[in-house]
Amino acid sequence: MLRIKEDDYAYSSARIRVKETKLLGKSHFDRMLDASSADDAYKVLIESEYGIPGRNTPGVFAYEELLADEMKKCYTLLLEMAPQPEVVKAFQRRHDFFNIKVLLKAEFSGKEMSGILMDTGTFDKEVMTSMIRERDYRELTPIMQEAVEQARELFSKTQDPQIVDIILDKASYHQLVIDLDNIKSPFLQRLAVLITDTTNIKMFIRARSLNKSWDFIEKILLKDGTIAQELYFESSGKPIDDFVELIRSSEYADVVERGWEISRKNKNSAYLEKLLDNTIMEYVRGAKFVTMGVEPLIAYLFAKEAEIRNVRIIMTGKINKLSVDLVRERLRESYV
Amino acid sequence: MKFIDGQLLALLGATIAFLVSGIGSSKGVGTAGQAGAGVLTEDPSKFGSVVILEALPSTQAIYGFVIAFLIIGRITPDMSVIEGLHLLTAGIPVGFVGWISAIYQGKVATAGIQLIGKRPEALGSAITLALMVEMFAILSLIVSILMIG
Repeated sequence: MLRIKEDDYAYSSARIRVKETKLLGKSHFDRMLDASSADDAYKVLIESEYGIPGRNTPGVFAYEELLADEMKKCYTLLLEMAPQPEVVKAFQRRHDFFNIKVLLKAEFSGKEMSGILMDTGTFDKEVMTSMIRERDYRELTPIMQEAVEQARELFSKTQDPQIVDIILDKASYHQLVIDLDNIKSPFLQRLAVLITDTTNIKMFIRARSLNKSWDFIEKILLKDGTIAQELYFESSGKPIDDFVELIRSSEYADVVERGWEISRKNKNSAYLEKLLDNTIMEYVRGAKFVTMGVEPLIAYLFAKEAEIRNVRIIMTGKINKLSVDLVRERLRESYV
Repeated sequence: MKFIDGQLLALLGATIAFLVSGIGSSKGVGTAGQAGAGVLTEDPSKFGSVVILEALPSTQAIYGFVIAFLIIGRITPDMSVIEGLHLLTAGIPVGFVGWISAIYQGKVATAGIQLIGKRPEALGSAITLALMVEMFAILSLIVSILMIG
């Protein structure tokens, strides 16, 4: 188990505090929302030091590249100053799983998809490409190896590309839980639980909205959560209201109830999902009161991810000329 | 010659006064210095404020030094074991209170450095917070001085 010596984090925690002042806050988002066109919103983004300095800034329609650059910049910073890179790598592995998923699907469908590979994983995207292509999995973690082999096997039986998503997404969360459990930090362990539970609730409600059966739901549910599988099983054949009733006994009662009330009216689960995301952000905000440790670093990572998600929501809204109120409603709570 | 005499005990008192408080100050200033480097990496213009906060936990070692100096000044070649024990005891408050308070003051200073990293105008508050811990070190210094007599 990886022990965290708080004093070792004195430098990085202080540096992050200054970085936090440069995160985009409500006023930035408001300026982007109030911009008269997508181009103007994009300008606000460029002015706020988005992307990697010196790199050509792509045009407004290629804003995703800018966001990918920003994510890359965040990981580079964290890896550079984290006394124990393993703490950051635990979160980077999610991107490895994403890349594996893309590569397998590209291989199965015969399409070229290298454009959407992320370069924020622990493995370089070129290295990952050749490992998956040549079926040389020695460098991968045991969970990755197992997932790739299972995905290949099941795909050859079923020819269903969705199976690749299910297996690798599940493995990705499992890897995160295992990695975080290996670090002696109650903050990270609790974070892993929150991520797992909220993901399960989201997936369950989405699946039930599509009237999926327990057979399917059982396949997608993550095993490491605190909400018992039986609870999901019991409510799997019933309306979602019954699930909301059953979950009363858990700590997510309030969020799910409030979220579902609105989501039921809107006939989509977006609002509930937003509240669940906000739950994680509220927890992560606790890091503001920690002077030294992994907390400020990981909180910054989450803050950046939430910020990028919000920028994406605003940019797609602006490009598609959606109403400002509608876009604003979709925004997640930010860290600052 | 006896194995333990008054002089040796008094020297031990001076050692405790300086050594223990010195360790505390080194740790306190060390932690705050790392935090300072973190802030300066992003914003070099804050050097002045950072240095003030970083230096605060060093006072404990100075108090320890003063007491060690006073103790050494009291040592005479023919002092009794009791007199030596007296001076040894006098070294303890400033040594141990200095040790712990310097470490905690270092933590407050680290948090203060983070505070001015975010809000430069809060330097006054950051210094005041760290000075609260200073009070205990000052009290221990006074106690040690009174004990030396």
